[in-house]
Amino acid sequence: MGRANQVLVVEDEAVVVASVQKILGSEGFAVEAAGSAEEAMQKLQTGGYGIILIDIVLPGVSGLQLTEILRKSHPRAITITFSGLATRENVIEALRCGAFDFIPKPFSFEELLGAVKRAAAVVERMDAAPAGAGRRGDGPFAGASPPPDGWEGYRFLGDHTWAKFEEDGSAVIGVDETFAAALAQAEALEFPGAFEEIKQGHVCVRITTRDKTVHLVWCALSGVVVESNAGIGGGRGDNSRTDSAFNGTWLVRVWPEQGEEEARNLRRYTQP
Amino acid sequence: MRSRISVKLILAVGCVTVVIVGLFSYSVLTAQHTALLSQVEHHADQLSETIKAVAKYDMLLNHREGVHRTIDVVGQQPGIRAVRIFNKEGAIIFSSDKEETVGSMVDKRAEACFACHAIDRPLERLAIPQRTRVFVGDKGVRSLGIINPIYNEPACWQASCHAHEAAQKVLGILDVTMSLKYVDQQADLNKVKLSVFAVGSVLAISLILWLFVHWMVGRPVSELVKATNIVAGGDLNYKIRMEKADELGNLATSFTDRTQRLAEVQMQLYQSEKLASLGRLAAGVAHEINNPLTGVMTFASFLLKRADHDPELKADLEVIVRETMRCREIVKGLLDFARPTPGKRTKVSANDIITHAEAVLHNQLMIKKITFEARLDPNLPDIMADRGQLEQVYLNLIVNAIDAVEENGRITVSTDHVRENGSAYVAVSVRDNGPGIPPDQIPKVFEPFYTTKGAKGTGLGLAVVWAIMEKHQGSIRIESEPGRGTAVNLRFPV
Repeated sequence: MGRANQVLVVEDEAVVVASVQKILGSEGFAVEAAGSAEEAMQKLQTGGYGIILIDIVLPGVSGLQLTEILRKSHPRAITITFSGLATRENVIEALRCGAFDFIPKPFSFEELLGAVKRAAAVVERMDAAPAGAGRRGDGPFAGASPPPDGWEGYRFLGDHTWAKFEEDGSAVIGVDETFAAALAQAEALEFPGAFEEIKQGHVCVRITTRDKTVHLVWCALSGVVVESNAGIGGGRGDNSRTDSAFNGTWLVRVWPEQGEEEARNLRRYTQP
Repeated sequence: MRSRISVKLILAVGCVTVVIVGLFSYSVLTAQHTALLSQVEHHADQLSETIKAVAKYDMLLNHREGVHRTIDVVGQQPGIRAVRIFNKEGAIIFSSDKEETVGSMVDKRAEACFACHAIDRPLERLAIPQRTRVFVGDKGVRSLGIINPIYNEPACWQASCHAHEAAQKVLGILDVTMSLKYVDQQADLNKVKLSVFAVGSVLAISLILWLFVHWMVGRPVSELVKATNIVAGGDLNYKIRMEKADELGNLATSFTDRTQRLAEVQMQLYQSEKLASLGRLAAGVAHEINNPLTGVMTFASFLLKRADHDPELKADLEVIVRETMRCREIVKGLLDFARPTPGKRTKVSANDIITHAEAVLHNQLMIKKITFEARLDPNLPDIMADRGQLEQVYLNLIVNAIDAVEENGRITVSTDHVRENGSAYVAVSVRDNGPGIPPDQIPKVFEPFYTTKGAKGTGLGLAVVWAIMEKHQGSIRIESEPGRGTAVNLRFPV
């Protein structure tokens, strides 16, 4: 499997490292640990890790700073942040810094596996793609052709979810190709209720798959929920927005709150 | 300050009193003086007429010594300074005053002479005031002089002495000068009396005024000043004792009301502060707990996976995994509570949530044989709220009520659409007929970690409820009396 099952855990709490090793080890991943950002950088010079799990709270350089550094220094590694304090601020900041996903502590088996397996799939694709394919942090998966209406209206929260403003004033929030497998295998989908208010940085959709992995979709935009793509999952549902490698799938339509600060957390499409 | 008010008041009233009493005294004195003078004038005139009448016979008989004697005698009377007669030319003919020389002239232009002699021809009949003059004599004594013209009569110019012709109208002037010493003494006495009265009355008025101001204004005001100082020093619960029903009493009452309100607001701010710092504490603690919790959850789950072969072991491990999941939820709940974010809001109906809460607690209610009554307003408007948090609120309150009542107790939950002061509210009330809460305990119930349930209670219930109400811009009030049960009243803005 190459890099895809090489995992580096950057965490100073021994019990958490042990837990990660236990969980991922049982699924065929090779897990190494670093107790600090500095140690991690050292290990990265020699090891070929595909996935890096980073705790936000670290001695010395913080996990968020490390995430940001790795985006530039190791664009072909996927970073996933996790933390005991899953506040909106932490989630948004982590995703903005280039994290692929955010896992709140304490995590269950299924939650950790879900995120890591999804990341592993991306690493595999990256390794299989032509050399020089860009890291996801620079935009949607490299080589994706634009959706029919172009990239113009799309905004991205890190590499995790996207939001598109429609002409009628509403906005759809969705995920891209990386979630396709999870959605296809979905056994249960938890959507927000009608007229429920959701916030940028909270979980908006929770996907449980048949092979017992759980995937959290962090919300890209605050607003009041107008419609959910509840029919999707298990291979059914509305794939009208899907397209080639981007394969964007909308999940929730909201009436956006239009916060200034929120807009700053989102970025436009940039060419890799 | 009190002393300045009363001093100002006393000075002002004192000045006015002095002016009024002064004017009064002055006019009285003047009137008295005038009256006395007029009396003396009349007396002098009478005397003068009497002298004239008495001397007339001597004059007719040309008994000059007789006239002289009469005049002398009269002139020596006490109070009479001098009696003189001067002739039509103004020369003194007779005078009781031995220092005046016979024959010396009287200045026609002086004094009362002026009245007649101002014009060329003298007037013949004059009223008394015009015939009198008041002057200060050479010895410094004030005197009143009155002239009495002696008019010619047939008996006069027909007399054998042939002193006068028929054509002469006025034969001479009888001038009586009386000392005004008595009058002046009286006047002085009056002045003294009146002055004493004036000063006395000013002092009396000032004293009464001072007492009045001190009693009715000074003391209440200084009570108020004392109260403001105490309150400024920090004791907001100080109550002013004032039973008066007047403006100062009102001021005291409203002052006390204000400080009570302030105390309440301060309490609430303090609560907010405490909860905020508790929140920060909770965040820190939760964060720390999450790490070991991760470990426990992971390894317990692992053991569970490996225990498929052993049902008993599996069951035991399931307990551990389940309870660790519960820990996660509790910590998450604590963090949610501690987070400043408002939570997820949707349109919720308070009635629905209450019904749901009752369903959740149905068994407990049945077991304790508690009567649960729901009086829900069917037209209750929805509110924008976090459903989960409201559920927490109602569950909390109803559980508290269940814990409070005995068996066969009664719990009533009512909802109402209330309009007050131009705003609309959804009012929810949870009432029980339990033992009630003593008045001094009521403010404490919202404090975190306050509990009457011993080891069973965490004490976070009402503190959480309070925080949730605050986040929803609502309010919560407790009414309770020992023996009369407890009512918790919530209000949500619509």
